[in-house]
Amino acid sequence: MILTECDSCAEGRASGASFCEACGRLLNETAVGEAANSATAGEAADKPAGDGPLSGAGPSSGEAASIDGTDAAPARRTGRDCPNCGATGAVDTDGYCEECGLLAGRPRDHTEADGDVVAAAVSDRGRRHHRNEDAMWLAVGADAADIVVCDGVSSSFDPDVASEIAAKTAGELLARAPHPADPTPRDETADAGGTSDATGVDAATAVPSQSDEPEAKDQPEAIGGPEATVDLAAEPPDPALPIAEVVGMAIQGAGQSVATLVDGGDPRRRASNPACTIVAAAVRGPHVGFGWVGDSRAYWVTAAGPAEQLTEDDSWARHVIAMGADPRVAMNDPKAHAITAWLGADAGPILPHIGAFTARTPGHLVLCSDGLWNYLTDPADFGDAVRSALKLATGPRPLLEAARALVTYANSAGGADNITVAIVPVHPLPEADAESDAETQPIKSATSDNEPSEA
Amino acid sequence: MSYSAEAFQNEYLAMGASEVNAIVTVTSSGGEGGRRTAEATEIIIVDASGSMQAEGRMANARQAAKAAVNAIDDGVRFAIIAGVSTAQQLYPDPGQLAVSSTLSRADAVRAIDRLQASGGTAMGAWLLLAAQLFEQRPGDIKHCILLTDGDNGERFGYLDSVLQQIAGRFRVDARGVGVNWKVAEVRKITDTMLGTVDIVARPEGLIFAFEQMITEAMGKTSADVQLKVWTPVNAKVRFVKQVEPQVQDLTGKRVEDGPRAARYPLGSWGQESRDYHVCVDVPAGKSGDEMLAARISVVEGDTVHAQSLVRAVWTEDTALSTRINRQVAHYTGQAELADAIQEGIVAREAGDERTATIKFGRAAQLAHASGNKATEELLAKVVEIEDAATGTVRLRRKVNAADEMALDTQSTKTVRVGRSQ
Ligand SMILES: [Zn+2]
Ligand SMILES: [Zn+2]
Repeated sequence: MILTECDSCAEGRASGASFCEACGRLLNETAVGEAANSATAGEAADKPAGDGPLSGAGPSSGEAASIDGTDAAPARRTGRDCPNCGATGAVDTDGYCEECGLLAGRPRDHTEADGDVVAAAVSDRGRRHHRNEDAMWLAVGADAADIVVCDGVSSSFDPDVASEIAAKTAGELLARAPHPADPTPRDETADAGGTSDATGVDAATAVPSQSDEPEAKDQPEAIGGPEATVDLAAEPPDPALPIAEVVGMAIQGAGQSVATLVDGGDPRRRASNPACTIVAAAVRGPHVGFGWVGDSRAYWVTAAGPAEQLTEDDSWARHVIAMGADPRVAMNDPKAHAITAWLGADAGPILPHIGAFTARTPGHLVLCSDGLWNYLTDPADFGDAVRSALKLATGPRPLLEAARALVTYANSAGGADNITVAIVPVHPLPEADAESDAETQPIKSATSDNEPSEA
Repeated sequence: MSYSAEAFQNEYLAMGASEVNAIVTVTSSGGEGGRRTAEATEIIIVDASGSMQAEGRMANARQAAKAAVNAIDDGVRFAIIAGVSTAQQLYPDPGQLAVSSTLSRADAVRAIDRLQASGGTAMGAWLLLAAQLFEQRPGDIKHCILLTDGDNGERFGYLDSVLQQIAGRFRVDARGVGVNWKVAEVRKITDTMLGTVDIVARPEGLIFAFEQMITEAMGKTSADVQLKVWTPVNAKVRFVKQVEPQVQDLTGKRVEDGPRAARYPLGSWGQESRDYHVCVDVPAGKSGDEMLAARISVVEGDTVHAQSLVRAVWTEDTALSTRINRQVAHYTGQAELADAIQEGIVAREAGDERTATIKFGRAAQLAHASGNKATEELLAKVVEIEDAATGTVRLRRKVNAADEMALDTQSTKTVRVGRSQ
């Protein structure tokens, strides 16, 4: 990433942090040409779950404007009333009021994806940023869910476009995550051949083959999740691991999609290429595979106790703490949150961290951007916040309500950043199956051996 | 013709701030195959006042006019006006326009040979006749070349009233030969008529100057392009200026176009790119508010060719709101450069050396910092630049009048940001 001056945080770059996420400053000096932004999660509003991601309930899904710097199409009134000045029907297709000029809200300002009892996700602009540069993807099936949360790097140009394409690409690739109960795991290459999608990324090339060089540098780095076996020699590999490998490849595919954004005509994208973080997970029954690049996080929250952070931020603070710095001093440093890895044309080869686990106790997998976890840095607080949100959600859509409640929590705490949160309850297998699963056998699914279908 | 419009700005404003600035770059790919979408009319006005006898000016002006005529494309309407105390149509017959062809151009060349220098200078009358001839051709790309060598001899105020009457109806590019004409007077004409002014110090340079103007005029493919500016309720356009290739204030040329919108004339266009500085005052918003401060469209009649949005986003983050957009800063400097030079010249003429030194010093600083080398070189002929970075200059005792006039006409010519840096 080409560095742009950040007045408030020159420090952040001097030390090798290559952008000013450190102080949360937006660095792009111009922002002309809003891309045609329909929220990723809001794109497939009419499709049934299983065919595509869940619908997001943006305020005006389907009205995405296409005016940009060179588009001559004049803005037309949409018929929506202006929430600012009250002018009737005055809001244009580009989202601005034809009378007072104020932005009446973009589809991406607030999006929700409701997977009923399987999962839910909410993304929100927050209170300080003028647009939502986070993006999410949620697809659910019977006892299965694919989730992606991306956070645009605000010092890059068009970070909202980066997060959007990353979430979509990864989400589409996650659909290929195998169900460990499936007796005939799908052939990756055969599958990829026919998959060329609207993002322009051919899945066959987006997912690099990993079989040639097992020691290759770009192998996803595997780590254990909750209850992951410490001594791998003593136990067979977790059946969730193949899922995690697909997640790792999905993240690499997303990285390639984001990297192509620099090829467009806009020189500003070359000067400061679009970039974003990513955290993704595929849940298949009790099996969870996850992966990430950057500082968007995944947590495991059980009935009691502190939340377990499954991911380790690619951040300056984590880096120096790992090198032996005092955690309290490091976390208070202005560049503490500067990320050290991201998806983008300047990111080099993407080395996603991946992890996998099979749930032995019921719990909730929570994926979120730093817009939430910044207000809940203590794992105990995070666990409490998630549990209390779930406990208070007693309406017909408890997961969605809980996700909304967490977003509301971040907003009432300041809403300094965009906020995205996804919640997936994960259920362990019945006792007997879990035993055999842990000890020897590939699991026999208690639920379904199908690919995700209807929610 | 296909156009694009792109806005460069820092949309972030400090709390309470209400001034929004943007540079809008308008680029046209030109007509398909260079073909005009409108027909064209060309009128050449040659000063034939008595003073043109000096220094072989008339002979050179004849040659230049002939070269210009020969460069007119087939099918373009044209006429030649001899400028004396009145306006006399030299070619074709009075009140007529010729259609350019091998034959008509040869006729025109013979008519030019008969042109003799005698009489006075009456620019108002010359332009009025040109306007009358152009009137026969609504919708044409209308271009006029005006050659003069002296002060206007008409009664005070007459030229102004003519300009008021014909403003914007056609483009005038004016060239002054020698040093006995007034840059400010001719600039008034070209500012009103969206053209350029320049000095041709030596008569021999006229042929090249005329050919160049005709070539450029023949490259125009559409006639009447406008910038439409929409602003929200309670907003006010502070100014709209062309800032590249030269500074030209369009603010006063505003023509209302429906509620909250107005048009500004951009003249005729070929394959080219120009920059405009738009400054709008809007009601200040709350923290996090995003407002569309202006919607800028490139229009021709009812056709919208391109559109660009100018935004305002209010933030408490001063790191964002204090960032100055490079383009805006650059062209703000170029406009100040033009003003500083013109004010310096006026001060020097008035004998106010102190003010002149300050103004030229500032000009040297701005020209140097922005990489406007052509202007810096001309400045160096009028003042001794001791240190361009600090703007330390000394007035030269003897200044060649042509050099000072060249500096004056050059003052509005700008360079693009980064081009020569
Ligand atoms: Zn309004
Ligand atoms: Zn963030």
